[in-house]
Amino acid sequence: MTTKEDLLLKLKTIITPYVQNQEGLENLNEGTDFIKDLEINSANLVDVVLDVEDEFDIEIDNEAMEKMLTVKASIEVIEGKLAAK
Amino acid sequence: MIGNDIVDLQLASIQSNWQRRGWLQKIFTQLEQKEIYNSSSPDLQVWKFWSMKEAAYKAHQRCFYHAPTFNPNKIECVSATSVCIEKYVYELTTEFTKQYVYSIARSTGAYYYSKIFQAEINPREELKKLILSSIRKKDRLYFKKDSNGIPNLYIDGRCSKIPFSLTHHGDYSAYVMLS
Repeated sequence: MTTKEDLLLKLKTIITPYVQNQEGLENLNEGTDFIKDLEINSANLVDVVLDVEDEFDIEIDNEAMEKMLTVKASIEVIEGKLAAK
Repeated sequence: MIGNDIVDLQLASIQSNWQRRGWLQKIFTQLEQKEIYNSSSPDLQVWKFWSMKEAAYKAHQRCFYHAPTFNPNKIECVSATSVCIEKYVYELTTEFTKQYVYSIARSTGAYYYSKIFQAEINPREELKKLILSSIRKKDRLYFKKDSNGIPNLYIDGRCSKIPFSLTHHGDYSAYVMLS
């Protein structure tokens, strides 16, 4: 069973290469918004989703992807997909 | 309504590997993918479609005050000059050079004024100057984003409701405003 802390840590590792605002990364928390707070380029959101799929061996459909704009929403999506495995 | 999006092609080639497995499928509809693969310049076609979708998304979001979502597959480039989102069709104008691709999306028939800038110039300040010249007052102008992240221009503390859009990527930026 992966804990929420583990998830957050793994997610942080995934998003780090795409972050353009390092300050946002240092203050990373559940409320962090990928675009607003981390200035991740919107084309790179796809890379985040693909990296999450690879890391957790899950498939993220468009409906789930649509929500993945914040740390909180992403963790919820990952937890949901892991539970359904 | 109005939206715009610019892609710095050199930066895009560094930031994104569109040939990565699954990348195209997550962003583009089957029709768009087919067109990309059949294009004589798939690389350029990827960014053309991308900027068209982004511009249309911005126009649509400003129109309906939607909270941000990320589902580019729901936004379809149905021709070189039109994009469809949830049954709404936006008219598109796309121009490109070796350096950038720039798209403007607008409600059908709307007129606009747009300008592209390089590097250091801040399109927000340029847009401010343009608006100040037309209202001829020394009003205080500032930008403020709403809760959905959509910027609005405030004149003397009041939201102006002027429909505009700003875009910036790498060395290029632009504004567009409905005229």
